[in-house]
Amino acid sequence: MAYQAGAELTNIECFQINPLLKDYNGPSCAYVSGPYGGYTVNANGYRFMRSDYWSGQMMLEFYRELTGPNGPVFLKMNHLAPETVSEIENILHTTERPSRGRFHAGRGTHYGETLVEMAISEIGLCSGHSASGVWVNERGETTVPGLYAAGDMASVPHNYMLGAFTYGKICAGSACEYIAGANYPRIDDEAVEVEKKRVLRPLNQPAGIQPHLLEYKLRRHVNDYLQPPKSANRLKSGLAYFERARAEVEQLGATEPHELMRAIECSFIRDCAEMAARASLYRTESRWGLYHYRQDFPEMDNKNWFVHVNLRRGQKDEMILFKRPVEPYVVPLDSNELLAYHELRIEPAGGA
Amino acid sequence: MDANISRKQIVAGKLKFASETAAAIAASEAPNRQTARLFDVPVVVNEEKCISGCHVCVDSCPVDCLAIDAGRRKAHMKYDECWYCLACEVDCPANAITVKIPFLLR
Repeated sequence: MAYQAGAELTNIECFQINPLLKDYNGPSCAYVSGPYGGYTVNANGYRFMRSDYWSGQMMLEFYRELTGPNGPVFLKMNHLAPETVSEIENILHTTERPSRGRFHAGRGTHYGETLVEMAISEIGLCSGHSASGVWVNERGETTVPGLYAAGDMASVPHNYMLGAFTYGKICAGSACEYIAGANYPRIDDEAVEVEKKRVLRPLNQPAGIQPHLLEYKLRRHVNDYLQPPKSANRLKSGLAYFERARAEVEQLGATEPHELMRAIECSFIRDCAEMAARASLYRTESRWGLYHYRQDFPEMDNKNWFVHVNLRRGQKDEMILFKRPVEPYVVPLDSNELLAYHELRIEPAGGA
Repeated sequence: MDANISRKQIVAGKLKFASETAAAIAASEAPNRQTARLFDVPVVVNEEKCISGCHVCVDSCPVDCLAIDAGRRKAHMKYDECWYCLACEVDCPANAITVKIPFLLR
């Protein structure tokens, strides 16, 4: 919606990819079990990376192990004390996703005894564990005057709920200042009518394409062509469909409010898929581990690409991409900190 | 081809076209026809326990997949979009709901 309103988005090519439990749509939660002593291992039971905390590089090491001869990958907690295991279960099976315990129990998986198999998620656009989203400054302002963004949809990496609350307050403060100095806006009735017509169109063609079908088709193309490792050829194939899907979005039908909601969501999914493909094609280097691993440009290129890739909607509904410089770091980094990601791998994993 | 004949002719229930492209266009413009397929849903409601007039589960579902059947006045899973989060099962005041992990994931 921010994109449709004309706001700049950033780092879209920095996908969010998560380790998930195999066959269960819930995070594997190495970051929950980690502080209690749990960690990620390969199929031989050996640790292969120094830190399980979310990063693109962590996901790349995860991906390599998962798809290599020592895969799949597991979360190991069976070396922990029973009361520690109970504590982890209590957090994961209540807060995170309550049916998780039911899923494990159904398969006879017990954290204290068995390794828990993990897999890789589909891609997402989000700053939660990544860095993509609506471009905001330190006041929560987007590039559209009077429009603010907070939480995972805004480009503040790794801020989660605490960050969402903090930035929510900052945005509210900025918005209050803006409103105090602003006149009442003139409502453009014509624009409202155009938007109404667009949003309600599926209800006027109830026999149109069913939203769940288009959603599945869009997501399938995202998985087939955008899931890293990336290459220009695959990205272009995906992009060709996402452009074709503009017409399919216009053919969506809905018979009642729930379907209308899903239909509107399809248009957002299509927008996001096109953004993901275009931003990934634009940045001709690799960065952020698996998140933007281009097989055709496997090296990081700081000379040309130590920049943000931003995009916005043009006058003719086209996507415009451009570079934004990275502002100087507020907290200076030690030179060895910059190398930390390159030292994530433990070699040789599996004790050769 | 005779210019007076349209690009598609209905002959004995079969469509005949001047070209594959014409056939593809006509096929894509044909109206949608849907059929139903029955399958198990994760949210199982015990209708004897389910309280008529209550809609706690509908309100608690984060993906809006539950609804009250207008005729029976009981809750049911209307859309195949359940994430089996258990919110409905936990919140149901009558313990009328059981959420199953879908067979394909069990």
